Amino acid sequence: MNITNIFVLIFALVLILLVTERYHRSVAALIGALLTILFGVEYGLFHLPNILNEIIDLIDVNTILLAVGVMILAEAITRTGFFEFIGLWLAKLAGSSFRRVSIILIILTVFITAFVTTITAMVIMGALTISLARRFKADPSRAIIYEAVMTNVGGLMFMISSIPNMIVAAHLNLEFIEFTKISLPLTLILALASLPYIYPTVGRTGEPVKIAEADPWTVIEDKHMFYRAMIVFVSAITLFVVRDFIGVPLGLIAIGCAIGMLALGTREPESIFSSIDWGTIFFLTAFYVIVGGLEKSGVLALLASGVSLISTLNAAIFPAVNMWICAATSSIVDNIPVTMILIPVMDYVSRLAHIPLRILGWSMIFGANLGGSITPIGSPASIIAIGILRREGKPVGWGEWLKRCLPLVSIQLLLASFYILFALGA
Amino acid sequence: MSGEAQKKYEELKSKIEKTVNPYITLRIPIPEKADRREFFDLEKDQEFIEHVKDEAVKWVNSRRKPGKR
Repeated sequence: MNITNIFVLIFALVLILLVTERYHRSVAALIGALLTILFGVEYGLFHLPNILNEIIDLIDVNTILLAVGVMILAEAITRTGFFEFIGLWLAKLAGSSFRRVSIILIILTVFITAFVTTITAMVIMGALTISLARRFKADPSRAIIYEAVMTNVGGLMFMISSIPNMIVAAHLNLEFIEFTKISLPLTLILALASLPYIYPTVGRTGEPVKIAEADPWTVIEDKHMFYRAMIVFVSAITLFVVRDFIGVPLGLIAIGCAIGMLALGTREPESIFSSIDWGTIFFLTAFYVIVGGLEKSGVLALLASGVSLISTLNAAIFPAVNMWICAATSSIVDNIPVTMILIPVMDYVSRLAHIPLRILGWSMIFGANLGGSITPIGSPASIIAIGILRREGKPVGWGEWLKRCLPLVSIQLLLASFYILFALGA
Repeated sequence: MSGEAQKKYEELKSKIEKTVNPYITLRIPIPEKADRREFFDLEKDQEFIEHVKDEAVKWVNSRRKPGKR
C-alpha cells in the first residue's frame, strides 16, 4: 500500500471515531497522532533520533499557549460572577416584559461568547434565562435556542473568541486589531440582523413582573477578588490590542496574563486548573500532528487539487461557496478539525486558483463558527442548550431545532457571503 | 450535557435563583403519624407554603435579640 493511501486511511479512521463518538474526541485525535508517528517513521516521514523535534515543529505552540491562557483568564473571570451580574443588571433595566428580557439576554450572549467558551457562555445564559423565565412564569425554550445560535455569532468577534479564529489567525499572521476590524463589524451586523427574526417569536408567554428588588451584587461573592480579576482581565485585553506594537507573541501574552490572574485574581488556582478544557488542548495538539502527516504524505495536496478544480469553475464566488461548505461540515463535525484540515488545503487552492489566502481564511472562520448552529449537534453550545431544556422538562427535537435555527443561520450565512464578496473584496 | 457542565449549570442556577426568586430549601423528614401521599402533596400546596412563610416570619421575629431590627 502506498504512503498516500495509508494516511488517507488514518484520517478516515479519525473522522469515523469523531463522528461516531466511539471515543472522546481528544482520544480519537491522539490515536490518529500515534498512528501518524508510527507510519511516519515506517515510511520515512519522521526520522529517529530527532523525531521529537520533527513532531514539535508540526505543532503551533503559539496557538496552544493562546488557547490555554485565554481559557484560564475566562474561567477566572467567570468565577467572579461578573457575567451573571451584568445579565441581572440588564434584566432589571429591561423591566417587566419577558420578551424584552429575552432579547437583552440573547444580545448579551454574543458579547459574553467573545470572551469565554461557547460552553461556559451557554451554561451562564441558560441558568440566567431559566431563573428569570420562572419568575415571569414564561416559556424559556426559544430564548435558550436563540442564545445557542448567538454563541456562534459571538465566537466571531475577536481572535480569542474561538479556537478556529486562533488557528486561522495564526496561519495568516493576522494581528489582533487587524482581525477585529473585519470580524467585529460582521458580528454586530449579524446580531442586529437576527433580531427582526427573533423578536416576534421569543418571550410571547409570561406575566408582567417587576424584578426591581433583585440585587445583582448578590451574585458577586468576593468583591475584593472581583475587582482584582477585572483589573487583570482588562489589562490582558489591552495587551492583546497593543501586541501589534510591542511584537510579543500573542500566546506568550495570554500565558503571562493567565499567570497574573492565577496569582492575583483567584483564591483557588487548583480548582481553575481542573476546570480547564484540557481535552480540547490535547485534541488541538494531536490534530496538528495528524495534519502534519497528511501534508508530508501528499494527501492535502491531492485534496487541494480536487478542491481547486471547483474553484476554477468560478473563482470569484469560490470564497463564499467555501464558507457554505465549511458551515455545512461544521454542522455535523467539530469545527476545529474542519478548520485544521482545510487551512493547509486553502494554501494550495490559493496558489492554484489565484485567490487571496486571506479571503479564503475569512470564509473558513465565518463558515466554521456560524455552521455549528444549523443542527442540535453542531456545536457544544447547542448540545448544552438541548440538555438544559430537557432537564427543565421542555425537550426540543431535531424538527423544532431546524425549524427555528435553519432560517436564522441561513440569513446569517447569506449576510456573511455578501460581506466576503463585497466588503472583503473577494 | 456533560457531568461537569451540568454541575456548573445547577450551581449557577441555584445562585441566580436566590437573587431572582429568593427561597430556601428545607428537608423535612416525614412525621411518624403522617399519611405518606398527603405529606408529599404538601410540596405543591400553595396554601401550605404561604402558611410556612408566615410561620418563618414569626419564628425569625421571636428569635431576634432585643434591640436588633
